Amino acid sequence: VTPGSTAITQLAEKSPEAKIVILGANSQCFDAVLDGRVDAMGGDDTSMAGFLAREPQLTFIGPSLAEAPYGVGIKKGNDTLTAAVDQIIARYIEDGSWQRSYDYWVKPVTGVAATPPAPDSGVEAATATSSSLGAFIAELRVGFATTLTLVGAATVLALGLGLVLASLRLSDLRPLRWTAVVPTEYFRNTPLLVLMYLFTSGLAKVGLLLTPFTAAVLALGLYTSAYVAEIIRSGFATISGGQREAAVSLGLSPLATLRLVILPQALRAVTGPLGTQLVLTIKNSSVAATIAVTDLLAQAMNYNALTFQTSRAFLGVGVAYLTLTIPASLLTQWAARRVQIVQ
Amino acid sequence: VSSHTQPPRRRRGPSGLALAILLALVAIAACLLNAPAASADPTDDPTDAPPATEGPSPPMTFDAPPGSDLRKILDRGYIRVGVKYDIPTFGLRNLQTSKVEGFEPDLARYIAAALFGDPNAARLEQGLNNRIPFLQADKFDLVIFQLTITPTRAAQVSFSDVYYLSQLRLVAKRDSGWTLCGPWPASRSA
Repeated sequence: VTPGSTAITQLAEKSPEAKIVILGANSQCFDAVLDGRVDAMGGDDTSMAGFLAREPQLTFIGPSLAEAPYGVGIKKGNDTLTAAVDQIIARYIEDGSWQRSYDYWVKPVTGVAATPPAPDSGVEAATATSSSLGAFIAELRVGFATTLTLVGAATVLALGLGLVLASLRLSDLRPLRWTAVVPTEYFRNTPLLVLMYLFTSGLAKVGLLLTPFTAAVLALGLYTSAYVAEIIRSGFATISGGQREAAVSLGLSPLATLRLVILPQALRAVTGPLGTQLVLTIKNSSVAATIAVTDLLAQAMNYNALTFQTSRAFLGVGVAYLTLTIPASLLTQWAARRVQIVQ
Repeated sequence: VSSHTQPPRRRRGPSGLALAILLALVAIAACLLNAPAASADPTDDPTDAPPATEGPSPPMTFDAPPGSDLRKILDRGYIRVGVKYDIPTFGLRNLQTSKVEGFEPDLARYIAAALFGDPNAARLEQGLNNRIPFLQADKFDLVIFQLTITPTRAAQVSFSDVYYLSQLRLVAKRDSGWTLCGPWPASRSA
């Protein structure tokens, strides 16, 4: 389903055991069904019929789950405009324009003849309700846990891989150096969003199905590893060549030189920058919302689409990110002070 | 053994390689820019023009006292409507003509024709998922993009009368063998 679609609430209500995956656009949902990443997609028949006509592999299953009446949305308080639009819609239906437009656009695709809706079949009786703050916080809590695990897993991957990449670039063998340079430069100079799509839709096309969460961990982890590699490499640069020469002359192997002499000093020097990268990773993780990871941002977007309480949704999620980023930066400042080499 | 003991001429190697990579990337970018646009599919070309763009006849009159929201729009001379650009049949931007076509753009043009006597007085802009804030921020006068009327939404925006009744359904692969176990009560979207 797509964010904010009424399909979300309907499916959750009628089929609580269904696992709902929210993707950014209908076309992504169809892609996911075709790739087998999801079993089915839910939505308005009108949004999906046009795609189905182009994609013979897909079909509607089962009867209608619910009716979804469409109305023209108008800003609250614009009452004369609302009255005029109601007047025009009545005329549109009455003079046959509705039927002509339907028969031209919709009927050839759905194959179903339809007559205009009764003008009063709307939800005019629907009483305006405001979603409670508690419901919003419950939504954010789910996203918070996802964001935290995503950042944690991606950071572990990035630190490990970044260390390997940086060490490879110190190698004397050109092929080894290049195996580090190519991924570093690729992941550092490609937009994170592109990587996210590469690891979901891209890999699915070659038969490798990753869950959105795994794909997000890989994309964010690899992307961050390139930055980590560059930070660690700058740490290596702070160590004078004499240290390395001394280690070699003591008979240490290149690996032992790295492990015992270079790394302990270099990592101390870059603890601060690595912490900054952690804060950036927390913020970058929000890109995962676009590939159906139900992280903090996805939960806020979904809440916004369902309730239109925009300021609450995005101010709230901003505060939620702050509760992650501020402790992270305080922690790294403290750690950087602890390991600092006083000269 | 380590790089700092080597003479500085080592720099020439990587820079030559870097130059080659740069040239290759420029070549790829040039290919992307020169790639021919998707050719027009003759079967997509409608032979008869879409209907419902003439507007109401006889012309309609509206109650628009000075200072009212409708008067401001009438004085401005055009109406801004948020529509879908990516839904075939309901609102799709034709890549050849740049015109937005479909059931909902038809309604938008009819509204413009009724208000201004000119269907082209509807400025159709893309409405994305961040759709309602645009309405609240006065970037759109109307949104006509498959917006289902729900109680929670009605708390934030006004809705017109119903202009279309769609059905919420599931789509799966034809060979998946999935069927829905009923009975599903036909209820209104919550």
